Amino acid sequence: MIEVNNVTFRYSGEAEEDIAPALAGVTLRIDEGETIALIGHNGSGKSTLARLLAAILLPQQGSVIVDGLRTDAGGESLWQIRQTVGLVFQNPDDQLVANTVIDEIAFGPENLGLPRFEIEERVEEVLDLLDLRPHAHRAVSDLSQGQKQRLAVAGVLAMRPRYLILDEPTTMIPGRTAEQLLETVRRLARERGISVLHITHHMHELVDFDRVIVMDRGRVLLDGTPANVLRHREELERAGLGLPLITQLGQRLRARGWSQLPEVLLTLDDLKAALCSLK
Amino acid sequence: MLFEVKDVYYTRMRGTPFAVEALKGCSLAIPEGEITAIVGPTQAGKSTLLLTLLGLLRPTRGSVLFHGQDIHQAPFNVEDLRLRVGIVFQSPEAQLFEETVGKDVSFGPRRKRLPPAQSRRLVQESLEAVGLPYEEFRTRYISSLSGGQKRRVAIAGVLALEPEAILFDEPTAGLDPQGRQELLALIQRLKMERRLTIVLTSSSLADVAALADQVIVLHEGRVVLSGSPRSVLAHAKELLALDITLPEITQIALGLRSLWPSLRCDMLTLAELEEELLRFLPHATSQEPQLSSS
Repeated sequence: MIEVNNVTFRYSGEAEEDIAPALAGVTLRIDEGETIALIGHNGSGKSTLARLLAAILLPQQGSVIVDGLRTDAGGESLWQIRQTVGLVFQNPDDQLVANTVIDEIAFGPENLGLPRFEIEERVEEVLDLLDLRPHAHRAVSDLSQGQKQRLAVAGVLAMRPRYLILDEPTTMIPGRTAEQLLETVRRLARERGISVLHITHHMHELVDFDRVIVMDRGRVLLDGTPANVLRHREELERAGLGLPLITQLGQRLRARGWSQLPEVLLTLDDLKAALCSLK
Repeated sequence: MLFEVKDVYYTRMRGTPFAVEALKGCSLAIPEGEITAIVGPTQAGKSTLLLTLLGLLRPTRGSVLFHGQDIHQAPFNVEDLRLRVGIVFQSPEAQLFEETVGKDVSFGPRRKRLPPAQSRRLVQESLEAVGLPYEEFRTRYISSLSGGQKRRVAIAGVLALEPEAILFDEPTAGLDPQGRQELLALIQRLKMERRLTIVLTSSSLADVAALADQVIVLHEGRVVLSGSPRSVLAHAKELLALDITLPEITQIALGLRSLWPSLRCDMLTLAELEEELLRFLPHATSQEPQLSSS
């Protein structure tokens, strides 16, 4: 479990009162095995929160506690937290360091000082998980953006984290590739109990997650199941977020008289089922 | 027509074992004052086609005409073409080389040996046109700019040459949704306010469907579809097979075809999709609650 207790964070230091903090009194809890979509406009504090969870930034007020360890305790516990929480950046080029795909995956485990056979076992495992086996011996620089993004996830998974944080992994890659990546990540959560926090500003991506957290100006605006969150149309619009098109379509049809349609439709399958019942 | 491309072939690394035929008999026309979007998956030949338009690559076969003149035949001077048609490459960093924004944007006017006052005016107008206030950005270091800002500076540098047309290679690649919208709006403004002809490439119809006057779909070096965005979207199923990202509206419409196989899929807006659905849905059963007379 990760606990975020009343955390405030400013980039500018403490004195400049006129600049709003990046995070202002955020409190939330992330349980094991949960899949969460974290959504918000640019500057809402999403990436700052991700960095605080991974102990890359430390809270100036409040605390972040990962499996009982405070991120600001320093020393050994920081080492432990960094292995527990894996962070994938928006641009894979920011975190890929090795020349070939298998070297890249092995980089983390090697630095943990694991024995040779264990490193190989982990490399083999994630090659399959992320469908990278055909590329195992290719140069990282030859990969497409989508392949690089999968490699970045593979490198983090080879560290066997319990929490996987993805900071807008889908902005740099085309639609279908992005969907496949998210599907893989959710499967990992189901099969291995890894918690996933996916940061995005695409509303249509949040529908397949257990829970949605909406951030606005450094605060948690909404927190709940996708269907519950999408009921708050006005708050979302004020935070610069429109409803997913499928949800909007459902609401337009309701307004035209098909009031038996559910208030919040999430997926294409929901929409089809609902329209079928009208036929 | 600004450009006509007639049966153009281009072989990359020709005469080596790595030779690849990037364009295989491409024919198309680019009308003046419109936005033409060249859409296709990676490796379809989109960038090669842009470079061929500008005369930066010479076709192995076929010809490229600019205002009806073959760009590789005398008396046409291909260098002239580059003063009249600008290009914004995929990564803006690749074409910025000066220290400051002002110097970079003024490079073109200076090379044209324009008087300083005119050069200054062009730089100012070009920066303002891309939404970067002149006084604020003139002395800024290129290295201190964000990716989106660099992209704008690159566009301003091209505008300062006062071109008739600008070619954009994947202008929205790597931008977040907001940056994407802003850049597409900027391109639309360049067309409306400056009457520029625009050619852009993209692997996503989602980005360009609402913007383009003409869409040309390229696949493996050939034009497989072309026409208005609507007429191209009508072939959504084939586009999906080519790995082209479709607008969300089109994806929903395609998905609903399992219920109504004759549902159209060339709608551009949610309102149009709603109207189309109304053709199929039975009349609404529930009426507005009636006031019962007491």
